[in-house]
Amino acid sequence: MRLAADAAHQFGGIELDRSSPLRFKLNGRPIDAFAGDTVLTATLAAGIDGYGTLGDTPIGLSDRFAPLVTAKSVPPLPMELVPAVDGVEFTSVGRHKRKWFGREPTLCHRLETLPDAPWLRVEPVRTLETDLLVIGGGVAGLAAADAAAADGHRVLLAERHPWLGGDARYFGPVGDDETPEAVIARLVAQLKVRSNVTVLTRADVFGLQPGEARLHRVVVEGNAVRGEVVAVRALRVVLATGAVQRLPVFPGNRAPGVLTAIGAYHLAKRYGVSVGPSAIVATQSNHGYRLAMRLSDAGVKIGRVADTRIHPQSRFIDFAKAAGLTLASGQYPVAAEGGRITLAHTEGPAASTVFEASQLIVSGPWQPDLSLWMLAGGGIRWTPERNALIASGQVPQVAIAGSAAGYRSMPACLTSGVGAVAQVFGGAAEPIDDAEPGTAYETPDGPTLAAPLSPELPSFLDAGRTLAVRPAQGPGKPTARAHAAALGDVAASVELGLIAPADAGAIAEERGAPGADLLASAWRPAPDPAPAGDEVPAWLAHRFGDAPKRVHLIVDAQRRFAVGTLIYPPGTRPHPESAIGVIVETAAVGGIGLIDGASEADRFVLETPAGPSPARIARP
Amino acid sequence: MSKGYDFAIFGASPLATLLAGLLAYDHGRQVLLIADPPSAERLPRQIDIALPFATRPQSWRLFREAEAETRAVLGTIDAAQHLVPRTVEIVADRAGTAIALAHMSEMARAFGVDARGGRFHRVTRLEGEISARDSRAQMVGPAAIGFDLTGDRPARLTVSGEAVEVGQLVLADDAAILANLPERQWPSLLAAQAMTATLTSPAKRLAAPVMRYPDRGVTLAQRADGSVLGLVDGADSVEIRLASCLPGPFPLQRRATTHFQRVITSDGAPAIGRLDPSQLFVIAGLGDAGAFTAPPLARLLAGASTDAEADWFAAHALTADRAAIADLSESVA
Repeated sequence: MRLAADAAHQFGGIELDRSSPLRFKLNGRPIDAFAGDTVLTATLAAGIDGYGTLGDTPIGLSDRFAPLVTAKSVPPLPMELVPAVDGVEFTSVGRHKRKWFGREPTLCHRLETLPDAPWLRVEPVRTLETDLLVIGGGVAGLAAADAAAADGHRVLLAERHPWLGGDARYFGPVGDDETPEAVIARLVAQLKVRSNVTVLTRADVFGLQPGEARLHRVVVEGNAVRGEVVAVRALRVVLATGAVQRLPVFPGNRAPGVLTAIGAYHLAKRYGVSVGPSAIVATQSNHGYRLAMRLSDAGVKIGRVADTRIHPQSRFIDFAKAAGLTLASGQYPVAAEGGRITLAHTEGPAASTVFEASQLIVSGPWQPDLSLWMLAGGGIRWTPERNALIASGQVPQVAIAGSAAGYRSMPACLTSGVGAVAQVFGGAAEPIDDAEPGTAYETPDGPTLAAPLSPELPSFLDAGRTLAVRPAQGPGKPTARAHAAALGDVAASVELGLIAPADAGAIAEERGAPGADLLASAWRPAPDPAPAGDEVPAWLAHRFGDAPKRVHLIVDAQRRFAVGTLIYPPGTRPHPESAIGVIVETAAVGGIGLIDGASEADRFVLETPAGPSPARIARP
Repeated sequence: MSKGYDFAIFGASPLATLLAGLLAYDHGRQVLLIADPPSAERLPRQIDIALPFATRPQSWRLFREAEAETRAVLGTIDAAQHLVPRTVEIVADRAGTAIALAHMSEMARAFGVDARGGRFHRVTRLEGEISARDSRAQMVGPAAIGFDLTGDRPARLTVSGEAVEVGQLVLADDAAILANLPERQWPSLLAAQAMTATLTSPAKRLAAPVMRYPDRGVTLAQRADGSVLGLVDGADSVEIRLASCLPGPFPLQRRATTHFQRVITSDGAPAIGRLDPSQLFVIAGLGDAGAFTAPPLARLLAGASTDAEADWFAAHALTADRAAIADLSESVA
């Protein structure tokens, strides 16, 4: 549903132009939208929140898991990046059930196999050269781009989303600090007037190696939408790729209507969309309360805010209480299915309560997005202090900034962006203070709790396209779809005890940087000649005495002996350890044998596949 | 007061786990197994198949007898379901390798393996983990271990900072050797070799579930979903050598890749025995069949070898005159 245009906290959608309504079709169904919408946000606003089914399990549509869409004049492009265009008939790419033109609130895809992004194997249409490539347009990336440009360097900033600023607005201001809105507006304005900065939005960097990156960009020119692959030559790279909010692990956690808090925030703030009129919010951090309050103010009925922590303290919790929200500490979701959400107590008896709401918003832990860091050759390790995989080691000319580097506070993210520029250009970086004023009096984020397994509903390890499922067998059994695991899947696996913390970094690296596709190869080793003359290969040396001799063995004018056939003296039990020789070379008749030099026999028995065969030394 | 052990076994491989279990359970020894339980999610670093890449009859006899005994042992610990018969095909590109393969095939047939034209049928493959939980061996993670290998004296061990008396320290697999044996103490017989493990997306069916291309340094194992695990020797031309062994369809996506090292011997034969001055007992060069050699190794360490086993191990000691045991090299890359 669409929130009111004048909803509180700008939850009417800051990207939208409500004066420009439009209509497009998706899979034959008309979808109403506004200028500024993406195909995904308009689809969600139209009440279609299902992607399809994995087996019999319904899977929700979200900004982290949506299909490619295509149209007559539009190549397959990410649904979450393609703008809604009036009059265009879009089709979602992938396998559908037969009834995909139906009225169900789902795109009806079958999700057992997902199509690869076609641009991954496309050659770039052009190459851009720059002194510094900044990947990520959150506050750290903006600060890095601004600092490098101020020093006179050419900068290219690539941001995957249609907007700049990242997730900073979700967390809001702290104390008397400059607000995220003000910081972002200031930095964006500064970049706009710098002639040595190029900012590309809807630009997803998918390849990174020393000196060159590749990005795929959705280009919007009027009503025309196209995709292009661009190579970027840059000796230096700042990775400000942010962090991804993970999905808590519980049965039904990928059902339609289950959203991460950051996903729900951007839907509302950017596009004025709520996946239904009511919500249960489940959190393990204080910012979940902030979102619940804002959604409530914007007209979403908040049934309950459940917190895994027991009696947590926070200014946001005090505000939520004052706003009349129902709060429940020590509770967490244990199932979600068809609008029915089950919450249970984290301690004590297994009693649970079922709520009905159109959406379950879950505020899970954060995992730094280090996918490109691994592609660049960087290492990864698990840190129990953060319950996350963090970067380890160094990559020449590549620096990490912001929440990708593990920083939490906005001032630290800003400073780290500037510091990352200093790092790659050889300057001195300022010390980074990551303390958040006032947080000493607030309860820290709680641990991630995994709900018990359900025989009916699978629990997914995270919200991405890997669809990795928590195994029913417990530790020691590979997770279903384990070898497609992403960082969030690996982090969840560590928390669930499925993989050892010491192995987590290696597992993430294995999957995070698997290398380019293998191409057909006709490679063959250079031929070597067979051992010639009397040369005895090392693996045969001394097997038949220190001075074996070569003899030509025959039995008649026709029979030939295969290489490897063992030679025995007559009357000996044919067992390899009692052999006195072996055929080492084929011959026109018989075969060339290597026999013990001390043997004076001239009659032998050879063990062939057809049975024992007599043989004698051929006379010259 | 420090606790004492007869053996401290370093290693998380099936061989190390079985060895610790057999020494503790069958031979009644006090055993400390130093290993982090391996995560099933990690890419395998080896393929455990009971097919020695060897031509020497004494080695074949030891391996075949050990395989039969290992099967029985796994049956007693409810792990028999991890043993599956698989066809293994070895492809020779070079003439010399084809001849060696012919000798190996003859030896395999002589020891009861159905071998025809480079294909070895019903070879036992270990697919699954061996748990050390019920083995009576005490387990501890490497992080708790202190290991003093300085000076010309036997190695000394501490567990959680406390000195521990150990009768024999055993480096039971490649990872244990690579992690614990300082470079200066490596005998010239042993070398570390770069390896790459890759898991592809589902590919066309391989000619056999396990394929070995010794001249290209590639071993392939196809999984039930069609994906292929490829182990590639060496660091050069890894992708094109791997792709040359794969049936397509191309381009073939790589799902996961990892780089690691293994230990090889310069003469292609296993190397088993004590190293001076550390007195570490090293087990190396057993190849794909290593997991099936735990019973005779346990007897060797417990001083209970048969005469034939004792002869074989004496010939394969690190310090022995090894000219008469050189065998097929595990790697030519």
